[in-house]
Amino acid sequence: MTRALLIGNSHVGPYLNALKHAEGEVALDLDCIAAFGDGLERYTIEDGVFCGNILDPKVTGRKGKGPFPGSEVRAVLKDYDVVLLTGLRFSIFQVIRVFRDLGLVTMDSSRDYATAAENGVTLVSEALLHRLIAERLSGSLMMQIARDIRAATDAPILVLAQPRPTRQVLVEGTRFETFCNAEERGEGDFVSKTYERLAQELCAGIAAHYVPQPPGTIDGGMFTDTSYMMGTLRPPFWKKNGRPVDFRHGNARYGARMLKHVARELETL
Amino acid sequence: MKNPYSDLPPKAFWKTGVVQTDKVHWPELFVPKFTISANSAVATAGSCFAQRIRQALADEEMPILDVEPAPAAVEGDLAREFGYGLHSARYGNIYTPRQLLELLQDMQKDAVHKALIWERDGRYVDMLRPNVEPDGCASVKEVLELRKQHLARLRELFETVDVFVFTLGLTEAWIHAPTGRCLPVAPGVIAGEYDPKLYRFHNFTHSELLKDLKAIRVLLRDIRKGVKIILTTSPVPITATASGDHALNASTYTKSTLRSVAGEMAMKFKDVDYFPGYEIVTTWARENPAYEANQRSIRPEVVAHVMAVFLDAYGLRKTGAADQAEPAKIHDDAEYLEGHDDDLVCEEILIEALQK
Repeated sequence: MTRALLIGNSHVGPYLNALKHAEGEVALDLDCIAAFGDGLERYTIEDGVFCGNILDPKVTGRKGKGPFPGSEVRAVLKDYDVVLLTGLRFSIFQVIRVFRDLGLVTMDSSRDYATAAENGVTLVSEALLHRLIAERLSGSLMMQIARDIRAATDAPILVLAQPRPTRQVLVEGTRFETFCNAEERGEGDFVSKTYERLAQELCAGIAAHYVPQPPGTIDGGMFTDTSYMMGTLRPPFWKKNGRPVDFRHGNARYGARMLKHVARELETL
Repeated sequence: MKNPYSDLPPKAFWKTGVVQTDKVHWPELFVPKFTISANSAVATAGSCFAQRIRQALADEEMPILDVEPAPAAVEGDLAREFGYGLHSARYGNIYTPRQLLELLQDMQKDAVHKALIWERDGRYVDMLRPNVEPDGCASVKEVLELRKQHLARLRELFETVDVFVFTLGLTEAWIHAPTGRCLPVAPGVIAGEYDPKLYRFHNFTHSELLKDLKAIRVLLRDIRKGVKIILTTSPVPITATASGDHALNASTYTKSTLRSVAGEMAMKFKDVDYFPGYEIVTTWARENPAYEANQRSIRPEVVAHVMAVFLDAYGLRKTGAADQAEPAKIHDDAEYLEGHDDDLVCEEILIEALQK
């Protein structure tokens, strides 16, 4: 049985739920340290011990940064065969914003200056866009933790892709306008592939391994098939046709698909 | 007995105007020909030192034009590295009048040139502004389309500018022989490779520079009638010379010729003025050294004083920054050798780094 430490934010949910529902099917003995939002921002690693230092919302009175249900307080890193990281602002959500006003000549909607101007976007070089995305992802809490863990243990680090949103974000009036713009311009697939490539490069740069979102869970390049998100019932949710939908967090089905990928990755490491 | 000098003001005499004067504020050294108001649309261009002028004006909350601002997501060092926020457009440093003239002509004709692209390890570099894309471009098409965007934005700049401040930096330049175009940096410094058949050295003469500056004035006035021009000469010595002469002689030729031609333009045209920043920095009447240990970079407090004189002359200074300027850091030899002496983006200095 592989001993794994899962660190993240609310995006650990799919994995914990998947393991709950698939007892024995996945050969992982998993401990988890997670907090909602950026609740892990005060983490420390001292003498090989990862400590979440998650503040108790009952004490601080601040919602949204408390411990995720089932989270441990600390973990001795040498006790684990692999460290899994997910969420923590390492996602396509950080990248999509970059594409709001910027275009490349390799994108159909900005294939030349005249087209870019017509579509209200500024042309930039691919090099600048990649540097910008890399800067954003590198500055994420996930990458900070990954770098520090890398310095503290030789165990493999797998970065599990936070799922793309569902098409629910296209519902008028949500704050995910950037996804709507990219979809309208037909650039979803381009954005998605750019993100995947850079995420892999960045993780490789710190000797971590990026586990991308399984292709079968992806809808139209930039979105997650709704069936991999319905049922998370994690507030706040939106109602679509009377049914509550969480358009940002994978469900147990998503977690199970990803864990199969993790198992395969672990065999190759 | 009366003579032509007897009624002249103190500023006209070396003793009272230079030796005995206030060498921080330099009263009456610069009496502008025209006004710049807090609402004037000012644009800057030129050599590395032009970045200092732009920054000083921006610090005073002047409406400095920037037609190619960094995209909202691009900030800080990344923006500077990619040539944003250094000048009024993303043209990089413009060292010679010929370079500016040809840029304006490209803008008018909407002309982009496939021949003016260097290839470097599968990346493509715009010869006319090689420093704005430090990693190069992914394709020739990317270079050309980015350049088209640049030229379109330049039109916006020159259609709206009220006062154009142009800092003259060099007389020496490299010409791309097949196109005859003047480059901002020698081949092989940032990209490309020096091939004597493809590139030729040229040291502009006074008459050539004057002709180019006159043509620039005409073009600018064609686009924006009533535009005013302020010329300055960069007090930063040349990094290296390809003229065959000693660097000290070559630098003196460069700076004195540029100073002279700027002066002649200001004498000839009422809409052209000359700001004597060069004089403030280089005068031997200074009480404190103007240059860092490398004898090239200008000490920050001196830059602040220069810009205070400029701003005070137009009644634009609000911050009193020059009066509060901290003493300059003393750079030791190690820092000099590392070339870590100021925060300007300056491709010319790369030549020094490549010295054998």
